[in-house]
Amino acid sequence: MAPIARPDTRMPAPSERPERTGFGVPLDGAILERARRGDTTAFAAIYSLYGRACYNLALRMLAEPAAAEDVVQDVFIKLMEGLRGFRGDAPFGAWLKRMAANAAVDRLRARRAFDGEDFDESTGAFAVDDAPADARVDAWTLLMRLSPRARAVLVLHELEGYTHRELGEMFGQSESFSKSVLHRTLQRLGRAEPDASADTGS
Amino acid sequence: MNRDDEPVAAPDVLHALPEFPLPAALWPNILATFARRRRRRRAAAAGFGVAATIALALVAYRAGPAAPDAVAGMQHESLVLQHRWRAGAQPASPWPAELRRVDASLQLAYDRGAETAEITALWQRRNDLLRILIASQDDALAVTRL
Repeated sequence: MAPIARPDTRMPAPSERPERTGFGVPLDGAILERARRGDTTAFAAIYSLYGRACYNLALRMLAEPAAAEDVVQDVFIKLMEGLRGFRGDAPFGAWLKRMAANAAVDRLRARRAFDGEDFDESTGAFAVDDAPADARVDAWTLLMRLSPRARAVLVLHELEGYTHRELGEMFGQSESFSKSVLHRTLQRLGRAEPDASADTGS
Repeated sequence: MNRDDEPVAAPDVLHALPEFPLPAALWPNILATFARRRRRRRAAAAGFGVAATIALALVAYRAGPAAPDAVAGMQHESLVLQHRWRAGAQPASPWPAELRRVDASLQLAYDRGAETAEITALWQRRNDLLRILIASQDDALAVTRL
């Protein structure tokens, strides 16, 4: 199996992670206004609030640190070039998350990661089911063993809270496509779930 | 409910995924890229402005000098035709009335600063008249010879 790209990891304690991802943090209206006026320090503040969430979302979907950095860069440059797309009818974090998710999906599409892929075969190719029963497979490794499509659906639905309908739109597929991919992915993960003590590093 | 609709719980391990820190160099890189793109856009905008100015100047140059050149060419042709007509006419022949009207129109046009197109058309008309006069001289000569 090809080596799995894995950036330097620092597993924060649960107390450091009050929520699943950082997109739920509200943005101060004053920062938003300054950003609308093109104030770079306001963009730096937005980056410190949401940059990490963007990076982790992209990294989980793309499995490549360099590609995840590119996604964060694309998202924040778009942000700095104009906040016109943000109408304020949804929380800023949700809007930004959608930008990051779309940018990651676009990259997967550009890599043709979705084309002609048979999910069952590609997942099988990573041999999750064939792993020895006592294999110490941590959460990250488990995620990286999924096909790009399965990984993207899993991350966006289970971790980021997108509905199947939203995922169908995002991937240019039907709602049932997302349901089907997720169902099979979860079934396989359920069979391959590691010993909890092995994947936290604690 | 088909097989894919049966709910399958997400394994707890998913919620134990590590949160990776942002690479330290990423924000400075983003700022640098943004600044570079902004400079490029400004340069492109400035370049477009310069290109537009040059294009306008070229159009003006071509439209400007070209028309007086055309008029000058017609004036020269008119002098040649006039000389030819004079050479074939009786010494005391009066200046044809039609030519006098065209000349008066030309003078008026120059006096009021008329458009080049109008002046060109008048010179063209003058030359056409001179060609007709020369042609009629040639015809008369032919008749005399016969």
